[in-house]
Amino acid sequence: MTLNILIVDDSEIVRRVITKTLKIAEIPVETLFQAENGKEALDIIANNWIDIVFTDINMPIMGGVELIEKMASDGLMKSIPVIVVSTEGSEARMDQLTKKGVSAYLRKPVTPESLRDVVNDIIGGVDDE
Amino acid sequence: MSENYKEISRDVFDQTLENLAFLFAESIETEEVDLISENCHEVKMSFSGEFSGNIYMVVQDDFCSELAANILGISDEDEDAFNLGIDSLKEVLNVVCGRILTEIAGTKPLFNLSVPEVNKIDTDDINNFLNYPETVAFLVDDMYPVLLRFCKDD
Repeated sequence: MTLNILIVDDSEIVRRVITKTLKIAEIPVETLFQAENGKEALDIIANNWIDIVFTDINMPIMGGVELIEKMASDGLMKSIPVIVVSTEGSEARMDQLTKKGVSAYLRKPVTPESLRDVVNDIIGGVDDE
Repeated sequence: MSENYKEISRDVFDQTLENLAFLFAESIETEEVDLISENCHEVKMSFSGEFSGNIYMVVQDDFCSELAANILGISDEDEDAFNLGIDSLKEVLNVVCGRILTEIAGTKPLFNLSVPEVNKIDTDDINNFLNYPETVAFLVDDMYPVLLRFCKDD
């Protein structure tokens, strides 16, 4: 099983680091999409098949929370798993995001092992391929 | 309390740099720091929530390229290395800030973090920075001096 993955972060460095970590974690990627904010991400999701979204919280134009809310209110987008990647360690933030339908929360710096575990939990056995 | 924050700052910076960039930071005394003042930048961000304040980091420009090279796997002579290094500095400070706040306040409170800003600084700025009681100093990979300062508002 190969995955279409969307990385949403205003920092090019973070997008590159997540891309590198996906490779090291041996996550089978079909197509990797990138967006600098929630608005760009919604455009990409509306026009492409996306299996998993990795998103930051604090971004200009449209942040991660608004992106997650808009996805949750859309009949098609709400089934796409969203993984939040953030520096924040607040339980209140994690609870807030879980209630909004976020599948998992990864704290920076993200390790290949944690990323692989989370993707396996969500998609189920990408290492069985 | 200030000494406690300094110890937390040292531990968090050391671990973050190792995990994010595979670089190793040795804690040194501020008197041992030898920065080339005409080639230095300061990264700053603020935080607010249960308490508020700022965090600052000062580095020499050559450290930026090295940081980008290690985080992204590019050559430190790549023409984009310096600019990518500036973005990498912001990301390092972002992670360090989030981790220090969790170490101090635990995981219950919610903090808002600002977008990191980068500015060039001069000799006077560096001398002031070295004299602040909150400043901690590092030598990264035996050659790159780095200053870090975590300030919680009263």
